[in-house]
Amino acid sequence: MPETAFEEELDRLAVESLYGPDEPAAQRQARLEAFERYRSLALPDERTPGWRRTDLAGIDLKPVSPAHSTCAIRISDADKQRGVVATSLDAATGNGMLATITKLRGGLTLGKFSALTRSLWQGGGFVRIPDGAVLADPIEIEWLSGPYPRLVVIIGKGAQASVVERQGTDARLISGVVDLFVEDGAILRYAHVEECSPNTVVFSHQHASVGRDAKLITLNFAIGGKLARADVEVELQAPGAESDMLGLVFGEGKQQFDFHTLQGHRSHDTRSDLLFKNALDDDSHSSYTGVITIDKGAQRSDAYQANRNIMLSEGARADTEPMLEIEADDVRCTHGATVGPIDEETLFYVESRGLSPDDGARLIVEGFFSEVFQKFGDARVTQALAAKVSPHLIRVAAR
Amino acid sequence: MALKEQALVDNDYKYGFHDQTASYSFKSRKGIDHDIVEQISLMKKEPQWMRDFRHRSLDIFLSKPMPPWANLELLGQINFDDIYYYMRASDVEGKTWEEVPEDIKRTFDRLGIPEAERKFLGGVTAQYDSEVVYHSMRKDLEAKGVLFSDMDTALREHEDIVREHFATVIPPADNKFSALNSSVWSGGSFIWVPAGVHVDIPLQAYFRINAESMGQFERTLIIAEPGSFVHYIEGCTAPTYSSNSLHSAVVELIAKEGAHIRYTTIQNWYKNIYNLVTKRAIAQKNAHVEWVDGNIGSKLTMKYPSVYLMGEGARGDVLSIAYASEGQHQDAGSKMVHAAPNTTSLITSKSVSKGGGRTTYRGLVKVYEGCDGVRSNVRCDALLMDPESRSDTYPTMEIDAKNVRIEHEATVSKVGEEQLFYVMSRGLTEVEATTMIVNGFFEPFVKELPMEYAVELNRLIALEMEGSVG
Repeated sequence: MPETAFEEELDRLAVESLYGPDEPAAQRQARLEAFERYRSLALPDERTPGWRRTDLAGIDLKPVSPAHSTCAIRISDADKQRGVVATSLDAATGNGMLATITKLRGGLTLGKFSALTRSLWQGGGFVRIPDGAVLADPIEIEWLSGPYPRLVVIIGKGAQASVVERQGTDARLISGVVDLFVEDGAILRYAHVEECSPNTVVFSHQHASVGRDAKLITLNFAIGGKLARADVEVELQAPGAESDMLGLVFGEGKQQFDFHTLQGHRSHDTRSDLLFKNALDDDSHSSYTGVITIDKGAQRSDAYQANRNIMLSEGARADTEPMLEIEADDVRCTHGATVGPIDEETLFYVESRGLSPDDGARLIVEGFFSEVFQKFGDARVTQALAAKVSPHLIRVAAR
Repeated sequence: MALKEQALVDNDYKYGFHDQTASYSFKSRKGIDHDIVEQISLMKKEPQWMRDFRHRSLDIFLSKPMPPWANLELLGQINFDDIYYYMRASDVEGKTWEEVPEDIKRTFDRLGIPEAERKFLGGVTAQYDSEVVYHSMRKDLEAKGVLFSDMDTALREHEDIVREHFATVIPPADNKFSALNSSVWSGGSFIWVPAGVHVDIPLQAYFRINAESMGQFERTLIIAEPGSFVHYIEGCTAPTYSSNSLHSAVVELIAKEGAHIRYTTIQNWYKNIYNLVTKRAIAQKNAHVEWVDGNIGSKLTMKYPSVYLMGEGARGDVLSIAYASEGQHQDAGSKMVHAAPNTTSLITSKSVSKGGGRTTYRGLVKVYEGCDGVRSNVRCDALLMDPESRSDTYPTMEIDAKNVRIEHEATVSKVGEEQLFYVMSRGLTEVEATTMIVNGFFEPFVKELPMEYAVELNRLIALEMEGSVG
């Protein structure tokens, strides 16, 4: 279906008519609120907070018309028997499976595009892992079409699972929204894999809330797109909640990657860790902005944040802005950021073992990335991701 | 024990007195407009170019919005129409100490300036409100050809040097407050060090806001010619007042090839003062600029001393501390702009928040394309003394070159239980132990200060820490 850009002809009525009279009232309410939010915000430009480092020259941000977003959800037979539910999101809200519609209220920093998706989504994906289920295999979700993909994953108390969401569609503009709910004692590994075509502007707004003694490990893996932006927000809501946030970017050509993260310590006795690693070739550009917030009363919070950048070419550019906002005193909070080329000494060491400089460089970048993969803790997921990066690294080595 | 005795001392602001200086010889009306600016310039009998510069700057100030990222809650409380932008406490500048009016002398006595004078300090330029009233310089400095005067005098006597460098580092349009300063500036220091001259003794000036609602807009310009060295010390204390005062300085440093400038500030304004200062240095080839910056007082400080590393091999260092207690926000940081290859920078920032105070580190490290061999290291440590206080860290790194080494690290924590336990096991009370640990935390900064400053700073911190542990 040829996409058409829409301007301001989209009004409340159009948003209401997307679903017809059967739409649950609370869901409609959430969509209309998001729509008002969308309308209140101007299209981002270089002066918009959070967009200052994005080069918007030649990038068309005009929203595209609403259309159905569909995904394929693959669950192993064994896990189906464990009671995992997978359906489209509108089916889930329509038949009451997703009863707590308040869960659709949305993330913290509702920007122009996540507000748009929250108001215009159709179709979407929904996964619910029942309490106590320990899944045998990763759940794979692959987006097939649609400009406003929306995914909700709920993992029940004490359950354990890995979920991989893949976005590889070719379109002018895609704006996705993901909501993750990690209930008490659950462990969720979630990987967002972005490998869109080099013409695609792709946004992903991910919001997670993590319950008591629960653990969430997220990995944002990005190698595609013309401009790829992800806003990843994790809120640790109860004591014992933990979050590991991982990121991996390989940039080439004129690709731009813009990652924003939030580690929100809402409760005392919570722990978060973050490691975002970027390797930038050609004229690619990465911009990382990360905030750790520790709320008043969130005592004994422990937070760490690291952003590491390897510059593979003269034209590459890395911006990094790691931030701390701390309002409790009994905390441990540290962040670090580095930017530099491949370490000369390491390269020398590798070459002294008989490798060519190019192979050495490739090995070092592989090693640089492997820390991220290891921390994710599910090799079935990360082996496939490593395989996706390696052709790019060989290209570097072959230069 | 000394600390126990101090606990009996009034815990209020140490310099909480103010002289009844009613005899201001000239005081502009409150508020700011082109008439006021014209008046200031006429009073000072300035050349036309400076008058034009002031008017141009005022237009910029009036049109510029407040910086959107700042603490707008506090900034919004400034009433620009309720401030005196220019006043002169005495018509004649004192050439020797005896000529300085008696009431002004009393103020300086309490600040300890005569003692400092008796020691080894080279020149003292003490600024009382807007105008410099006392200024002395040792003969050997004069013999070396060093120029050290207040800015107004420099404009009269060395107009060519001033005109060549003035506002070249910080143009009026840089930010709203540099524009304000550019339109109403008065006083400040001017230093010019000839090529190859090494000024062994620190040059020093004391600033002090005295009249209620009196803005102080000093303008400092330091030019170090190739291969020279100078250390300048600026210390601030201000007497108690009930309504808000505004201090908005512009400080420009120019370190030419191979020159070395060190600029030390201790800021201890009273806690109702807005301290919104623009400080920037240019470091040319192989030059070295150091900012040593202590922020203890004021209600809101916004100050980000920066170094623009314009020539190969230039080096910039910032060592800063901030201390915020109740009602205070120390929004400080640093900017390092690497515009040439093989330049290096080092930022060390330490902050303590107590009693609901807030400290913010805000910084930038920028490396332009093609600047290979750049190295930059930023290190921020923050201590939080209680659950009401707050600490923020907002560093930014914009790196457009490949062969560089950029590192940033920051930590936020409280005083370690183990540290406290260890020190207390040596027989100290919790207050004494905490004070000792905080003093130790600031040690890298304190040891860079001349002794009398170091002593005063330690004493101030001890006073501030009283009652902080309950």
